[in-house]
Amino acid sequence: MTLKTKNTILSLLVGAVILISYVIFILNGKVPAEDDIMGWAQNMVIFIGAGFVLVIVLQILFYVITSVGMSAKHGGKDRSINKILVSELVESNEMDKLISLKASHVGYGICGVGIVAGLVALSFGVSAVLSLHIFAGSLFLAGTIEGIMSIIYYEKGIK
Amino acid sequence: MVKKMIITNNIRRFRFFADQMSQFELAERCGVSRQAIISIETGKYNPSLELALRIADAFGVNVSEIFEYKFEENEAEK
Repeated sequence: MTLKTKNTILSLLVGAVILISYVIFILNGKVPAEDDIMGWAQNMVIFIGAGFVLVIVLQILFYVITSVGMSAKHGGKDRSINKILVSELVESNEMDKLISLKASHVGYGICGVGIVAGLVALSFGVSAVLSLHIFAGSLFLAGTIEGIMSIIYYEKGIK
Repeated sequence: MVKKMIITNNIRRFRFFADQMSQFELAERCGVSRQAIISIETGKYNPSLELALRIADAFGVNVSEIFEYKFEENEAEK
């Protein structure tokens, strides 16, 4: 499994944790009123912000742990291990860009379908709050599927 | 109908004869990640023309010595 694959899995796990936390938050009942779209949007922004922060913190930890693990395993100089990690995780070459492009195609498609679904729901009289959740859900699903596709491309190959 | 082209390479052999060059060393010389070199060696990724030329240049040989190709046979032709 490549380092980028592991990093992507970590991001997907964080996304799952945020989603589960949001579901628990809704089930707890301490939610804004059904027609309070601003309140729901604010809560979503808080959860999305928490997700970003969690991803950044965990990726830093992942970098450190991987670096320590590689040092222990190979006993190499810190500079060469740092070079490997930077080239594998930070920099992107033509293969990374191609995989990112192909994976994002799928993500954009799903996002587009979700936005249309939300608009159709609104046009049929569904509440704005529910439509907001459809939009947010499609964004989340698009990101998840994009991550999964990039993992598949890294592991199975891309031609 | 255009036949599918299958591209293979001898990078691993060239690395071995180049004083057992590591994948990381080759990656550094070519300006890509080690993972890209691994993917190319295992046939999971076909490099761009520029990268193929950089790989050949790293070994000091022609591209045609590193990469080989053949066309996939159709079922009807077999």
